[in-house]
Amino acid sequence: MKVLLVEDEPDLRTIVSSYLLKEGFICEVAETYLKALRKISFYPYDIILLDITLPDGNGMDLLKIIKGDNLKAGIIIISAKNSLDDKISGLDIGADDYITKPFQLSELNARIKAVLRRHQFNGSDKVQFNEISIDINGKIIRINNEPIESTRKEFDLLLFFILNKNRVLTKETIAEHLWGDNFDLADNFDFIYTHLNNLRRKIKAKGGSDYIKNVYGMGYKFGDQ
Amino acid sequence: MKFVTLVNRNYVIASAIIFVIASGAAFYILQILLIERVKEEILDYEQMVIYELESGSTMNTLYPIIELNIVDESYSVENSFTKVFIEDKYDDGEAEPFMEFVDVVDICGLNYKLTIRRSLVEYDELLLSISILLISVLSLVTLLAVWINFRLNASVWMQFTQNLDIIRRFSFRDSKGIELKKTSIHEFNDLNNAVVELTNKLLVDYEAIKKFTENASHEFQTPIAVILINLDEMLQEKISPGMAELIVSTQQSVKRLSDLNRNLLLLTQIENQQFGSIESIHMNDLTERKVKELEALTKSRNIQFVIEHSGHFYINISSVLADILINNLLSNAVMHNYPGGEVRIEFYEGILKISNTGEDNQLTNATIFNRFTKSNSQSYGLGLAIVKQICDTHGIEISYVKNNLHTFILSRSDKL
Repeated sequence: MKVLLVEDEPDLRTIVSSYLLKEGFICEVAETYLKALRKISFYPYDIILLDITLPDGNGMDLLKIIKGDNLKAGIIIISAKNSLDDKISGLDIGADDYITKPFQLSELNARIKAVLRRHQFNGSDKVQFNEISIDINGKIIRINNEPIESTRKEFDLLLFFILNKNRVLTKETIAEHLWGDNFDLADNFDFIYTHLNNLRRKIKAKGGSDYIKNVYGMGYKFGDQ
Repeated sequence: MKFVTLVNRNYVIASAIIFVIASGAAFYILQILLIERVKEEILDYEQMVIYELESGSTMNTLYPIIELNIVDESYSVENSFTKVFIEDKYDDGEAEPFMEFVDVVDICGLNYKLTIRRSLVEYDELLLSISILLISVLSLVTLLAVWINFRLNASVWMQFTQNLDIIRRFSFRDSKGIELKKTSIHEFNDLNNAVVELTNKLLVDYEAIKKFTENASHEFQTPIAVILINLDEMLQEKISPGMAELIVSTQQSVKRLSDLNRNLLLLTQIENQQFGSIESIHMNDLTERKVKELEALTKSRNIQFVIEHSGHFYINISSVLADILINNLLSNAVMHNYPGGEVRIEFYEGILKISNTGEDNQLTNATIFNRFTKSNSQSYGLGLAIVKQICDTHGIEISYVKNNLHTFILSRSDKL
């Protein structure tokens, strides 16, 4: 999987690209509009992460060029402006997703995987982790090939965990992934705990192991290590 | 008082005073002239009588026009004019004014006392006719002058009020300069030029501030993103629980900073009306949806939501802002609630009422919507400021009432 990261901020570029490398992507970077334009015209990419505000041009124009050339890449706009107009017009032009700074790498990862799924497997897309398999289109969780009843939030929660396995996820990160930041209810993370417990119970009932670990003081971690 | 009214009022008062003085003076002068005329006539007549007597004619007394009496030589009289009233024997016996002249003359050795009178009735009538004519002309001229003055003032100030309307309607949001109508009056044009210059200057400053706010927010978000991501990466390392706690709490603070920054930017954006595509949003439906989302989040605190629909509430607003409006109102109702409390949402025709149970606070309708006003440390104090800003820019009146419940009432004011 080849990713092009178009981002002018050096710190962010380094962190994101090294994270993506660790996640098994081939990541190339472009720090300016012109460099990005050159790379896009020479090499194919699966995903382009596109910062809107670049020193020598507007990411939106780049997006128009990519879409005009009918390139196959999935595009995620990264914007520091939480400008909803930008978001709407970006998605209208043909971006697949829109993520606002600041974001967590786990969230970016989940978004990239979702866009990849939509672009590459049109139909049966499954995520497997040991005895757990997730049918993303059908929204079905199977433990040892037996489906379990799950709510939408439980499904999203488990998928987010599996996509970010062996990674500590704070309650804030999880809450933002599940509910967005629509509600200013930061004082209350009990609902995550409730969803988690239900999920654990359902998995256990079908003979699955509990891969969700509490990490004291931080949050949760999914994995078998 | 309006300038035009002041000028017109003073003009009318001045005209009235001038009118009274002028007509009084005209009347007085006219009267003097007429009396002089009568006196001259009487003196002419006396000369005629004396001449007739000297030439030997006999003159008879013709009361009251002329009286001839022979008097002693010692009789003397001060020859003077007096105004007398004499009963008219031939008419209805009414007293009529006469001008009387008494003189003693010596004709052919005889001493005559000569009394000549002229009726003033016809002169009084003449005086009256002339006065009426004069006053009519004068008042017509005065009225015409006042009317013309009114019209002139109105047309001159019309140009001014038209431009004033343009200035009133001017909004920085249109981001183009003000255009005023050219007037025929030099001073008004001067004022217009000054206003145009001033607004252009302000417009430049305003754009600069807007740009600054946006750019500052943009520049803040990237370092904040780096900090948050780095902190998250630190959490992935093997660290002591104490260190983990420090990192998480730092993360939370940075997140707060980021949210604060975002909300301030949002406020600016609403103020600048940077949200396009306005549609008519049915708030009843939207609220139902939002409450369903919220119910899941607040289950653990056992907060009851009650929605009553007794009417429809539509707002012409962009869907994004409608979302934020309801989110913030509901978040507020939940955040300042206690476990087991209630949020009551009532819809009437064009009215939305959101009430919640909660602890008493020191806030009033006047202060609750201010920025950074908060009753607990968990909130930013911006949620309701954003709500107010949205209401203000979309023709909605919002008020806060506190009895045993905390209630926010939104209603269409239909004025923007």
